[in-house]
Amino acid sequence: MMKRTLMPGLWLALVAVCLFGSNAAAQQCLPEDDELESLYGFSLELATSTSQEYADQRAWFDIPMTEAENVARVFDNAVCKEASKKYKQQFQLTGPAPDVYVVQIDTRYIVLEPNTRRGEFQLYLVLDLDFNTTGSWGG
Amino acid sequence: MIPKLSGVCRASIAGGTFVLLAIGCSNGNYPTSPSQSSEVGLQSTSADLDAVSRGRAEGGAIKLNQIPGATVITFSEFPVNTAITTQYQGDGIIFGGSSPFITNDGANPTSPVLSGSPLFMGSIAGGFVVPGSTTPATVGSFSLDAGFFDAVGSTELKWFDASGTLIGSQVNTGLGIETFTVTAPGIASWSIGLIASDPLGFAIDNVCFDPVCNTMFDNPTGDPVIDDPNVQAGFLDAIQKSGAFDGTPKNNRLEHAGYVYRRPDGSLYTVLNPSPQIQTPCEVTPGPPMPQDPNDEPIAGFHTHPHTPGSQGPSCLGIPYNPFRTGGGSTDDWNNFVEGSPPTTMFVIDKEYVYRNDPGVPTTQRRNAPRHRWNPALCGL
Repeated sequence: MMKRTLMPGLWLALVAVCLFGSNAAAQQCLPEDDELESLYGFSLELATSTSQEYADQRAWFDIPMTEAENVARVFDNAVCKEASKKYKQQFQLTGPAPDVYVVQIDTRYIVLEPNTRRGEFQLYLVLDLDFNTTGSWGG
Repeated sequence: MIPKLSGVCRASIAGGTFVLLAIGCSNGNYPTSPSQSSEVGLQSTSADLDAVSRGRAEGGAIKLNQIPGATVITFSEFPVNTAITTQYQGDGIIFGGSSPFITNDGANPTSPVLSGSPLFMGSIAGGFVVPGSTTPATVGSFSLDAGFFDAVGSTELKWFDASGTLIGSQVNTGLGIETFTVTAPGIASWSIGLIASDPLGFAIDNVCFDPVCNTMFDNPTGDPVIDDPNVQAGFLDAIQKSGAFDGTPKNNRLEHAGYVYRRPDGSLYTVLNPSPQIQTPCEVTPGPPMPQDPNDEPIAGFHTHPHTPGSQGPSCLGIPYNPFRTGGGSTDDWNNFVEGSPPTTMFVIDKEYVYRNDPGVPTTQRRNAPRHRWNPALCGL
């Protein structure tokens, strides 16, 4: 009974979710987990460390030195969607734009799609806040 | 002690001294030391042309060498009839084989020479060591004169890596005195002996080798595996075989992989996987352990990333290489090997660091894996 009496508008909404829901989900921020925590921890050191090794890495990838409070995990899907599109374009991925981890370091985003590889290496993309590429690395 | 001759090998012959054109121990493309410019090499060549002619006129052997500081042993350093074993240990080589001894050889213009026992028939072997010790070491090239051959193909020179594996061999291709020049990364020892009839046998002379490479590090790292000389020889062999230091374009360098093994007596050695299923500049499969003896235990894997951190990677990567986010090993290294079955330590060697990735390290701490900056200049790289 309940099924028969479902309103037509609700059916339309369900169809829309089925059709478009997966694409929307494919461009979202990946949730908090060990991988993101690891990327965040690295980003924190990268942004704040005075060691020469981290200074070199900041120079290689055009990443500013900044205070710890300017380093943050990003869960804003609008940001992840743009970062994901750029990641897909930059690394010439096929298929839908992937879910990504994003960590912000002041004026930069570090973007990682954890399943993308070239050889054994994961690919990292560095974007400015307008989503222009400023650097990338494999590691 | 044999003097380190700065790029010039000198040999005494009856009636005086002549200069062997000396630009090291190899004719090949083995890398020169950072301090050696091509200009210097050209100047040396030009300056020594007269000496070459003089050497030829007097019937002396001529060798083309590349590495300054090459050690040359002429066997004029000890009296004739001296049995030779460890007398040249201070220079980085220990002789063995069939009881070699110094003798005169009327057929050799640079006599005295080194002969095995029986006279001119016995084999001779040489093992490179850290000068003044019995610690095994490796060189990138060496040469020696052998003969006087009366038959082609009668005598074979073989050379081995730190694990005793045969790297290559060469038989005499002519009559008379022949100079054998060998260039290969990680040469730990050699032997020469008759493999067919040669009526009057052979002896050797003018053994010349690059500076012995005895360590990767300016100071011990404190890691008992990395500080083991056999392990370092294996790591050096792997990174050199990867093409990281011989001018190989980065797109043609290949990751190399192998295992570190512990013998029942506690000694360590390494074996490279000779034929990885996958081997590119961006990945390599370690394959199963292949110990020299079934009783030897694989205690760690190792592989190379033949690139410099921060530099543009090979085309299969297409972007700069940066190992620091995950402590040297890639995420696949950690997940598939270090935390694989069984969990196994992995060493990663790139052009600047040796990284140690141990099982049980939380994902969030992998970036802090121990790493030790090594010094390629110590090995003339």
